Amino acid sequence: MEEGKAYSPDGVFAHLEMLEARAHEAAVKQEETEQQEEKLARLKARAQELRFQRDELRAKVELQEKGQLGKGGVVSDPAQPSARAVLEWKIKSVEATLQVFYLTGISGKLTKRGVCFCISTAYEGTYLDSYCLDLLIKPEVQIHRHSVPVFIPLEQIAKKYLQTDIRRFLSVLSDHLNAYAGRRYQADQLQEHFSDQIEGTLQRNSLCNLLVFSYNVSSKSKTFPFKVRLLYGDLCCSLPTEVVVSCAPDAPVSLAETAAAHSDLFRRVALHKAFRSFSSADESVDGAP
Amino acid sequence: MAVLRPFDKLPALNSAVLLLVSSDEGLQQKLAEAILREKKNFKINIHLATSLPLPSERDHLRPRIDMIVFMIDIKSKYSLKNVEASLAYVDASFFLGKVCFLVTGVGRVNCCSIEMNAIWKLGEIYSSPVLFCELEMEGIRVATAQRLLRMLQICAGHIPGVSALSFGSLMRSSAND
Amino acid sequence: MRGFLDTHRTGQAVALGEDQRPVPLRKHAPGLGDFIMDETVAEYIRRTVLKIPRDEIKTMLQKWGFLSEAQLQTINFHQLKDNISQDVVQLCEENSADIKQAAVLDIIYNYIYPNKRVWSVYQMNKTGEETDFFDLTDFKKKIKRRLRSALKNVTITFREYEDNAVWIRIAWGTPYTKPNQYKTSYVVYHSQTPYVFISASVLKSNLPLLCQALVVASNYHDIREMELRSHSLNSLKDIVFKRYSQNFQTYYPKPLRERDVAPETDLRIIQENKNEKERIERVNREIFGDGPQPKLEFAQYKLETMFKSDPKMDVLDKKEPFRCLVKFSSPHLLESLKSLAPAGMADAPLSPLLTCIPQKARNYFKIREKKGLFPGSFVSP
Repeated sequence: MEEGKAYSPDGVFAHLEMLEARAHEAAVKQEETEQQEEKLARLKARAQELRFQRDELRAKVELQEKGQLGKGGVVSDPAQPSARAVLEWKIKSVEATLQVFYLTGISGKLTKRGVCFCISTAYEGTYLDSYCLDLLIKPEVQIHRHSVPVFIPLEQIAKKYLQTDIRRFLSVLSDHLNAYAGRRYQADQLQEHFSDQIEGTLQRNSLCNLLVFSYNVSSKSKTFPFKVRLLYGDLCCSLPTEVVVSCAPDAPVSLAETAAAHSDLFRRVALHKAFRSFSSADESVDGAP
Repeated sequence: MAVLRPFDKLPALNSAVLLLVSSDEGLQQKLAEAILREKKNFKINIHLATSLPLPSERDHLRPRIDMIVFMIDIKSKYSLKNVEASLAYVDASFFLGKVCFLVTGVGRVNCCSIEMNAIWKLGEIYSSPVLFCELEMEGIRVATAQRLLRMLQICAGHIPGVSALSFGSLMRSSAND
Repeated sequence: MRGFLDTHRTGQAVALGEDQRPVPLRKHAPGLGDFIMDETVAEYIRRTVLKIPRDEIKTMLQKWGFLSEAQLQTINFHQLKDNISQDVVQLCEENSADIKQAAVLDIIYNYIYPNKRVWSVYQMNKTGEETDFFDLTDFKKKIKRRLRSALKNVTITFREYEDNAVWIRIAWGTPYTKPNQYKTSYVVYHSQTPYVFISASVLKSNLPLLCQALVVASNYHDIREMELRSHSLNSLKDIVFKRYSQNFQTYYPKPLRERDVAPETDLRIIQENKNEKERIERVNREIFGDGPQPKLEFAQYKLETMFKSDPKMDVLDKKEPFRCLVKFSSPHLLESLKSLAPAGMADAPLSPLLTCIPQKARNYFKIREKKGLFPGSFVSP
C-alpha cells in the first residue's frame, strides 16, 4: 500500500482505477496464455492425427508396390474397398480423363443451359492460349458468350456451320485459332531471339497475317538490309502464302540469290526456324576459311 | 419461421452463449473477438448472425442462447430496419432482460442517419436496455465487451441472487430516474 | 559556340555516343541566326511537361527520345516543375522542335495517363466477308488524306504500340485557322478489329468527319457509338475484346494454386449464416468470375415506361410514359456491384440489368415498355 500511495496523488478513486486497470491487464494476459495453451494442444492433436494418416498411406503404398512386384499388377487387396470408395475412385478417373481431353485441343463440359467448349491452341509442340465458347442449345444453338479474339471471323464461321454441323464449326474455328496462335508465336519468337538482326520494328497486325520487317545480311564483311513482307492469305495456315524479300538495288548480285533462297525458306519453314538456320549457315561460312 | 426461445433447450454446465445480430459483419467480428479476449471463468460461445430468423438447418447444433445483442449502426438506416425485422422472430420471454440493443458509431454523430427517438422508442417498446458505444475505439470496445460479458453472466444465471429480470428492471428504474 | 550548337543539332538525329561529349551550352543568346522555335510550340511543350508528375518527367522525356541523353543530363530534375519545363523548352529550342515532335510528347503522356480522358467505344460494320490485311502505312495515308482534304489545317500524329494498337492524335483547325493543340481528339485503334476508342475533342463538330475517315481507312462501311464510356481505356478494351474474367465452366485444368490456409478462426465464434454466405459467394462467382472487374464509373438507365396504377384511382393514369433516370455511379462500379450481395446490401443474384453490363458492352440503357420491365423490378434495396 505504501508503494501504491506514492503513485496516487489524486486520491483513492484514481488509485482504485489504476489497480483495476492493472488487474484487467493481468487478467487479459492470463486469458491469452490459457488460449495459447489450448490452441497448442489442439494443434498438437491435429499434427498427431495427420502423422497417423501419413503412416497409413505410406503403408498402403508399400503394400501396393510389393504386390505389383510380386504378382505383376494383380493386387489382392486385403480389405475389400467399400462401394463408396470404388465409386469415388471411378468418378475421379473419369474427371481426369475429361481433363486430359484438353490436350486434344477441343474439350467440352455440359452446363445448365448448354455446353461450354474450350479450344486450346498449340504450335509445334508448345501449348499456347486457350479460348472458350459458351453455347446455348435451346431453342437453337447459339453463342451465349465467348473469349475468342474479335478479329477472328467467328460470326462468319458460325453463320456457315453452327446450326448445321457443330463438329465442322468447332474444327474450323480451332483451325483459325491455331493458325493465329502459330503466326503470333512465330512473330514473338522472332522478336525475342533475333532482335539484334532485325532493323527497326517488326510491323504486324492483330491477326498477324501481314508481317513487315527488315533484317541485315552480311556479305563480304558488309551488311545489307533485306526487306521482307510476309502475307498469310490462308487464315487457317501459319505459313505465308506470299513472300517478298527485296534488297537494295546496289547490293551485289550474289545477294539476290540469297534473297531468293531466303524467300523460299520463309514459305516453307517457321519464321524463327528460318532465322535460326540463317545464323547457323553464317557461322559455318565464317568458320570455313 | 422458427421463433427463438430462451428456454427450449437445456443449459450446458458452466457455459454461456451470446448471439450477436448485426448487418455489419466486420464490426460484429471485432466485438466478438474483444469479448473473447476478456478473462472469464466459464466457457463462452458467440454466435454471429446477420439477421433473424436463424437458419433452421442448424437448429439441432445450436445450444441454448442466453442473451441476444442487436447491433444498430447509427450511420445506417438499413441496420435499424434489419433489427426491427429480426425482432419479430424473438420469443416474448426473451425480453425479460435477455435482450440488449447496442448502438454503434456514436463517435460520429455528424454522419448520423438514424433518429435518436426511433432508438429510444425501440428500447421502450421491447423494454430492453439500449447501450451506446463506438467500437472503432479500442478503449470503448474493451469497456463494451466487459459490460456485455457481465450481462451475459447474469443472463446465464452465473451470478447467484441476480436474475436477468431483476437486473433488467434495476437498469430500467435507474434510467427512468 | 556556333559550331558547338550545330554539331549538337546534327547529333540528335542519331542520338548515340553523346555521353562522352562535353555538356552542351544550355543558355544561348537568341538572334544568333538559329532557327527560332514557334512560340506556340514552346508554350505547348512547356504545358505538357507541367502536366507530368515530377519524378516521371525524365523517363517520359527518354521515351520521347527527342532530347539526347547528354541533354537530359543537363537538366536538374529536382528543381521546381516550372523551372524544369523552362529548361526542357530551352533544349527543345536548341534542337528546333516543331509541333510534330510536341504532339508525340503529348501522345506519350496520354498513353501513360489514359485515365485523364473519357473514352467512348464505337463499333464499325462491314457487309463483305473479305479478309483484310491491314497495312498500317496505308491506313495512316488514308486517314491523313481524308482529314486534310476537308480541313486544310490539322495536326495528325500517329504512334504505334506493341499491342497492335495505333494511337492517333488530331488537333483540329479550319481552312483559315491554325489547329488548336489544346482541344485534341484521341483515337486508339487495334488493327482488324471493329472497335475504335475515341476520346473526342470539345470541338464536337469534327466527330463525323473523324468517324468517316476511320471507316474509310479501316475498310468498313459504317460506324456507330456503342453507349459504353469510361475513363479507363484498358477496361473498355477488356470488355469489347472479351478479355475480362468470364468464368467459363471447363475441364481445363486450372493452374495449381497454393491452397491458402484459412486463418484459424476462434472455435468459440460460430457463423450462423455460413451456408447462406457460401451460396452468395457461389452465385457471385458464377456471375462475376474470379478475376478483377473492368473499371467503369457509372451505369445509366433511362426508363420510359407507363405508370401502372389501379384503374379506379384516377391518379397519373395517362398514356404518357413515366420518365425517370436512374444513375449508378462509383469509382469502380462493377466491383461495387460485385460486393453488394456479400455485404448484405442486396439479394443475390443481382438483377441481370446490372450484371449484363460487360456482356452487353454498354453502360447506357434505355428501358421501354415492350420488354415488360418496370422500375421496381431491378433496384434492389
